[in-house]
Amino acid sequence: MVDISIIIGGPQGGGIESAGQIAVKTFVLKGYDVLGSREYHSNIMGAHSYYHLRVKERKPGSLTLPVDALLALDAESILTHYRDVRPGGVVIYDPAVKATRVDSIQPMAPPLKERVKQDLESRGLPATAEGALKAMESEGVKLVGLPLKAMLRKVSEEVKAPVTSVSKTVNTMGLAAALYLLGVESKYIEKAISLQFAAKEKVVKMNVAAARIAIDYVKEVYGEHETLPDGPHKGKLRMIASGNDVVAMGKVVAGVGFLSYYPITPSSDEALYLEKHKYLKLSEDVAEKLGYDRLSVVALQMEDELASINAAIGAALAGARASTTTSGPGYSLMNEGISMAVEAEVPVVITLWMRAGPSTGMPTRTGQQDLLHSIFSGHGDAPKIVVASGDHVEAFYDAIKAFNWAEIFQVPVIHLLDKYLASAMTSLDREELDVSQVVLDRGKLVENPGPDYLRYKITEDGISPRARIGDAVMNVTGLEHTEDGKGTEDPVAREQMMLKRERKMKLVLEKLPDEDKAVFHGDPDSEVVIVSFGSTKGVILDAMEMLKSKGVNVGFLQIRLLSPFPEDLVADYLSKAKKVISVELNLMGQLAFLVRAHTGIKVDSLITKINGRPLYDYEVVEGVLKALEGARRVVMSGGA
Amino acid sequence: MARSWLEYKAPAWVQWCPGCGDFGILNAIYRAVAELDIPPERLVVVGGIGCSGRTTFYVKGSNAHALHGRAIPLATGIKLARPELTVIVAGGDGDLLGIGGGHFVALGRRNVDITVILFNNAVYGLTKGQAAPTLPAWVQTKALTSPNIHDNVNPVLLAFASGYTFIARGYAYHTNQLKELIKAGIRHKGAALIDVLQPCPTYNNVMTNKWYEERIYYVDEEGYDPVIRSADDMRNKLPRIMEKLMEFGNRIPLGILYWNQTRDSFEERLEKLMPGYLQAPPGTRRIDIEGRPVIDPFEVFKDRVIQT
Amino acid sequence: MDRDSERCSLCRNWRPHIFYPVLGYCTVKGRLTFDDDWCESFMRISYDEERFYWCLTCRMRLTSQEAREHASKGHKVYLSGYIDPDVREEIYDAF
Repeated sequence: MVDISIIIGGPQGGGIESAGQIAVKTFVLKGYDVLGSREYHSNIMGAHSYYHLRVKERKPGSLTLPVDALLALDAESILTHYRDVRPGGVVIYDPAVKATRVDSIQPMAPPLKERVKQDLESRGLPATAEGALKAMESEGVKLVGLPLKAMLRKVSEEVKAPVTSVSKTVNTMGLAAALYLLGVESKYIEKAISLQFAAKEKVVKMNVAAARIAIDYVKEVYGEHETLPDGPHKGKLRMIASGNDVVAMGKVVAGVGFLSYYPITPSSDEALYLEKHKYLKLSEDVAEKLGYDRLSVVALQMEDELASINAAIGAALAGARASTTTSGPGYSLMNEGISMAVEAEVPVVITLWMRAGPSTGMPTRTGQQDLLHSIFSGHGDAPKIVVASGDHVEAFYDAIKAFNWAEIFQVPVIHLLDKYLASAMTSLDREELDVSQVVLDRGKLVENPGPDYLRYKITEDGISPRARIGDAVMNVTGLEHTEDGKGTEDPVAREQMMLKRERKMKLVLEKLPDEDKAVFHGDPDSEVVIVSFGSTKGVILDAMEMLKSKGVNVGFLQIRLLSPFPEDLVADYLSKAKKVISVELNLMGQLAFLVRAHTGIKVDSLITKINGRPLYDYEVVEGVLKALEGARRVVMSGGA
Repeated sequence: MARSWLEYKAPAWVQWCPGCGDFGILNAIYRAVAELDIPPERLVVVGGIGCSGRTTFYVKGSNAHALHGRAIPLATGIKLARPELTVIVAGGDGDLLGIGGGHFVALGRRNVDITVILFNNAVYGLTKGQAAPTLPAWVQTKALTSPNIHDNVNPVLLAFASGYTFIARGYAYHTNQLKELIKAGIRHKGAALIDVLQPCPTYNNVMTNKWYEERIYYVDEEGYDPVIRSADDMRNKLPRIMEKLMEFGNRIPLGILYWNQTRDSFEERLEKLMPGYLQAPPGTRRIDIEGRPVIDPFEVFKDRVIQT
Repeated sequence: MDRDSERCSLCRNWRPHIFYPVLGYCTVKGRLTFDDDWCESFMRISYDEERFYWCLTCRMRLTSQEAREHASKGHKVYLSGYIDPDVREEIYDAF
């Protein structure tokens, strides 16, 4: 069974991104499933960043440590990750950086420098890149030095290219060496390079030459290497996409007409990807049926998040499928708008990519700290829909469902995701993004409302016919109102409207299928049940298999709908369990809090991680074992 | 045949104080939209929070009452989703220039075809007469415990700096002239500001009707020409325009102060970027065929597709 | 003087690649060279000009006074650093 993990580390801006993408593409071309995540600092360039990949025959649900190969493009990468390579694994580095002292690396975080110095000192090794390499060697890691400069010269001479054009091959040489040592044939690497730099012929040529030279060097110095068999997906038409990408794709499929945003990590890449595809030419057949042949989405960078949410509300009122995308700090600014969307019954979709808070916190790091914030956002008694996606595929469909639910129930829908999923790349099959079964439901949208139209008509199910602004005389307001939308403080009218809005939430629970509320993975009779939400799904599923091989059977209840909370369903699943363990990336146990508030069931243990790095499979395993021994809270700390 | 202004009068108790300038503005809006023959369901009045925001309940239209300060972004969303609608923002000085100041600037940058009517009485009426951003320094209205120590912002100059392409000033009690300014603002394709001076009889005992009447005059009576049709016009007329935009003291100019006819509206820019946008705008275009999506991700997002 | 003591990496006209400083940009030639290349336009770098400098060791911009301090500690200090014009493709949305 193939299970390969790699870290590619280097300075932000130093080619880590293209190296990571080429690595992902190479393995996908070879027929494997890949999960790749970027870890980077809040910095434009110069700080340490790395790509963390995992390759399997079946889609990896998680990342793990230690890795099989570390490609260290600078001294800081060696010193940051030297404890993360398994015995028998390999590190690829440039011997020229060996003498670099820990203290001389400015971008490196001072606490990390201290930890590294202490560790190397305790092993009797110098606090240099060489010390770290020796530490690795002593644990059975194979050191593969690539003399970068000599190789760059060789590329320059062989291709007869000016030095300028070989400067973009440093990362490729290291990567090609690493991939070769992992058993990948050069034809896949070369194909991935040509896909990566498709538009730039010279760059492709140069990088292919560099890859060959690196592989020849490795062959010469370290001998021929065994070839990895091709993976099971070879020959398929696939997609490689990030969480940001698939959510943008889902929105376009759902017919989004308006996307407002203010730049913020990790949401901006979603908006940027959507902007890239905001203008589409439709096929003749489709154009004829729709009555127009070019589809245009107004994707608008606003002056702030206050404008973003309010402009999206405006566009939604005028009949567009409207959305905004943000992260914690921006979402805080949107709170008043969300409260208004509840009061005024506006179908707007807010995509909330959680990152590590509070406040500005760690902008480029992950977390699940905004669960309660999303549910309780907006002042007043403001019920809304909150749905959390567990992986790329769910994120794609949820982006579509969010618009349906927003329009059917005429409420804001918060689509809850996080930084890990945002930047994690994965391989996807056509069947996974199959839209043939997707329904677009616009709810009670009326085309001809007529002269007696009442925007907030009291109905049995709480949902009023919804006319677009511009189609009927009406009033939409954030004030409490009568059926015609006129502001009122009448006690009876107020009560009616509050109850009307509450009825819609009851309807949500009635209408949504169970799989959109909570999904039980594993044996429903398990005595030990993990409860979680969002992007921890994959890592929990992977850990369950690992636990099974240790003879520990656990079930996993993935809660998808967080508001309104599917309390009966959750209570049903959890009441049978002898031990309930919550896995969530926040310190207070926000999901555990919700479960207890809604079902009265007290979660026995919390497995959490708050260092901003994704949860690894072995951490869930370790956490569950500790929880079974009675630990109330286990805080995991892996990752660089 | 123009409609009667009575067709726009919503059945509601107009709850402003006696003598409030808002009545004059409301009346001018009724008459302007009636004379322009805008069907009420195609007329969108977006109000902010404050006395002025109530306008949304008094004009028959397809209206939205926004959050405090957020009338402009809400109106922007409506207009860009349905560019064929007539969109008017009715907001106070505190709403548009205080809490919503950033959006006021952004509307100019975008030049979206929205007419902003600034109800400018220099005080916060609904919260007991605090100083608004347009109250001059050292004025002490009777509601203030000490004189105002903030300087006042100049709305027309700010609008000019922000990129508004139509800037006018009216007086709330001169409804005929104000009606004409509103009509011109609505007809203009781009961001229009109509700064409407108005007394607040309850809280502003300094800037009263008498105070205004002693100062205001109409620029067209002086043969002033605010229209920019070319870069040359801009060079030649700018000094005089700046003079009018900055004049606020013993003499206060009313009328069209600046009218730039050379710039594309935001909707026109979107149409240039995405031909077909105006024909099938996001608000009204069909998004599905028999309830099914029209987009296949593997066909559209080819930059992410890989043949293994 | 021999060519080694007049190599690019000691030259006033050379801007080291900020991440991979075996390469650098030569402002005379208008292209990248290796750090140990040589040419007749060599001009030894000094830190007495009042201007900003680039410390390669610290990846930081320095004033002239700081430049002299860093250089005296053995840091590699240049007039500026070289950034790949396509660096945008390698960096992230990060705030």
